[in-house]
Amino acid sequence: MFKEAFAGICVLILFYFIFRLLWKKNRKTAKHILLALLLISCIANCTYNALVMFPDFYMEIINGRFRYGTFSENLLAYSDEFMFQDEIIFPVLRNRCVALDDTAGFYEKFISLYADAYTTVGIEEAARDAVRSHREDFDFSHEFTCMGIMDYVTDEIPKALQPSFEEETYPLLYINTASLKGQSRLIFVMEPDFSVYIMGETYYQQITQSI
Amino acid sequence: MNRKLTLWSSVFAALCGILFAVSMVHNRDYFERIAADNISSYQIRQLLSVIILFGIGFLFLLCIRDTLSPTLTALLAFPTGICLWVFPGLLLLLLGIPFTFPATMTVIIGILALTWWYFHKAGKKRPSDYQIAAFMAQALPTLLFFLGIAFWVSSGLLYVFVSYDSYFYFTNYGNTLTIVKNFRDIVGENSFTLTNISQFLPLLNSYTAFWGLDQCFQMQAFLTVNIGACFFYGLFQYAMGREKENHKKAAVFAALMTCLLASSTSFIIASTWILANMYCMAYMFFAVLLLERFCQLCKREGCILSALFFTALTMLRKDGIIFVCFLLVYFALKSRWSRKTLFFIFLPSIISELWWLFYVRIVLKATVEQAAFTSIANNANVAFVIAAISACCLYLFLLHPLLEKRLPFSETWLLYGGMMLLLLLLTIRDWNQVVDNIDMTIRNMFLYPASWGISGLFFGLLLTLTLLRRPFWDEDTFLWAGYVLLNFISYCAVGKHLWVNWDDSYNRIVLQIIPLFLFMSGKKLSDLLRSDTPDHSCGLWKAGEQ
Repeated sequence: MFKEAFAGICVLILFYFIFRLLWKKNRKTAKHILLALLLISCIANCTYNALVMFPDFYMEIINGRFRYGTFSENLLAYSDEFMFQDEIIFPVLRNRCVALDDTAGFYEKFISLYADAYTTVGIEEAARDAVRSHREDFDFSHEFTCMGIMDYVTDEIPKALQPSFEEETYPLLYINTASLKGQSRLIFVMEPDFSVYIMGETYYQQITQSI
Repeated sequence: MNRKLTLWSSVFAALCGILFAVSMVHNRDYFERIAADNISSYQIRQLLSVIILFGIGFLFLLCIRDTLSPTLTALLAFPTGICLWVFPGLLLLLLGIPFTFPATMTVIIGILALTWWYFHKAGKKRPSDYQIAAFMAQALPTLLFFLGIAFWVSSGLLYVFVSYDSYFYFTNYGNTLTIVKNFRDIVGENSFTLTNISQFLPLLNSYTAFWGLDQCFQMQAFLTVNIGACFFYGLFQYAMGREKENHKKAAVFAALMTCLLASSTSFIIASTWILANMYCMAYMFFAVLLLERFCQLCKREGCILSALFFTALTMLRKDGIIFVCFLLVYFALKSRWSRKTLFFIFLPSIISELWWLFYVRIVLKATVEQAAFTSIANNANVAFVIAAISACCLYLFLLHPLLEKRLPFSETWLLYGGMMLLLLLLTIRDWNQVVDNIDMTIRNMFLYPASWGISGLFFGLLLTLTLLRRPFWDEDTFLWAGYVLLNFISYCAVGKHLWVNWDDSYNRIVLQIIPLFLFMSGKKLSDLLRSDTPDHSCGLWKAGEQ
């Protein structure tokens, strides 16, 4: 990199002396070249951005583009880090009431902060199994990083989670996005490993109907 | 009134309005699939949030304006509006008053009413209805242009660049502040958001969160266009000079330079990355634009707005106080403003910085387990901030007046010399670290995610051209060259024994100066295109002493 930078500086110095000579000999031409240079710079920048920068800055998740709030469906969106995809949880919780699994106390503060309202409900083991068996319906799955990074959303981290949190490994968050539309009430089910499933109430009733 | 311009602005606003309406149809499916919200309501709320912030700033500027042109009033309305939201919000939080939308708006309305009352009372002449109508007619094209931009940014069809910090430290934290309504509930064993980031951007995110929005990307996009518009206006005014008949050539030149700025990969990266750097870039640019306007004679609006923008810079980043100190030195070098005026501009920054340090360290007693050495409230940082503020006051009241009178050459020489000496000392201390930092700087410029693309090459060519007519040591060049050098020194100074709150993301800090670099280069190129004789008037020797 030093060599390239040094070569670049040499080119600029050479350009300076050539242009200075031109400026002294034929000022009118030099002025035209200056304006042309500005124009060429704009065109070159646009070409570079169109061919190199913008195509690289594109991210795909959830059946296509990252669709969340107004960030979603941006013409172009980029990030080199994929840790924040669980941000989808915020628009999912907003304006909705959450029926929180009564074993998921660890998530209670988080839900109480960001959901419109919440109640705790008992989830039978059979219902938990039913949710587990429909895992393929949960099209969104990602580490629940918010829980580890925003320390003000938890009262106390359970001992079982402390070692993994220190290594920045977090429980998984599963969302069935297809079941959310038109739903004002969500069901929040927690696994023993602290992974969570979020789905619309109607979908939950469907899969647990036979129990 | 410029009818042609008004017509074009109206057409632009109408087209953007259509885009806004179409985007609702486009966004409906995915949005309503996830959120329990209505897309029309969501996007209209986005639009209103932008317009109201703009309106607050515009009203404030109408209250304080004396000689500010209608166009410039409209151009500076949005950044002023942002400040007028953030400062009252922070005040409520610091005073322990619940941070709610009605409470903050009440304070804002109170500020507007007080400002109006004070300046209305102080004003000798009341403007007539005709004068007000003429003012609004002149501002109309710019207002319509910004209405169009508000439509566009609320459509969701934006280009954004997000990283870990964008969400966890700004968006989510800002949203949480609207729920908990105070700082005390944020304090924990690892209060990173209180000790390692500054509060300006989270509070702006709080504004959009109060509107029920997920983030404040639209504010950043609006501000980016605002920078472009101010850049064009400032350069157009400069290129036109006193010869009004030159306005077409000046417009073409300013448009070319604005296109260069807007198309530069480095500017696109800096302005679309959801971080505080973009806001720093904006407020530095607006502050210098004000100085360009009021350089010779400080009017009250220049003074008040500079103070507002300086305070915004202080609160935007941990190293904001360094940018402010540097700008203060530049203001002292460049303007004919009195020491008292400059101190008045600096004072709100001092108060906000010290108050925040006191609040975090003494009142909240916020600690951090990880990254304790980068905490705002650690001993080294507190000592550094006090030293920087004291040094600036010393320079302003003692050194600058003395050097201005006695020094036979330009003061910038001395400042460059001082910085080079410091760099030399650091190099002697740790040669490897300085070489590593240079290496890292070069690499950062060419590697993602903050690559400069090919814009760095064009900036280099532009720089060589500006040297044709004016030397390197004038104040305009010092603004960006001194900034780059000072920040590089600060980057090298950070080590085991001295870790103050400077950020190690040097490339992003350099990106902040790009609009100013291009603006200053544009001024010089404009001189070059107009002039037939070389001019070294602001060179080594001061006028009259050659």
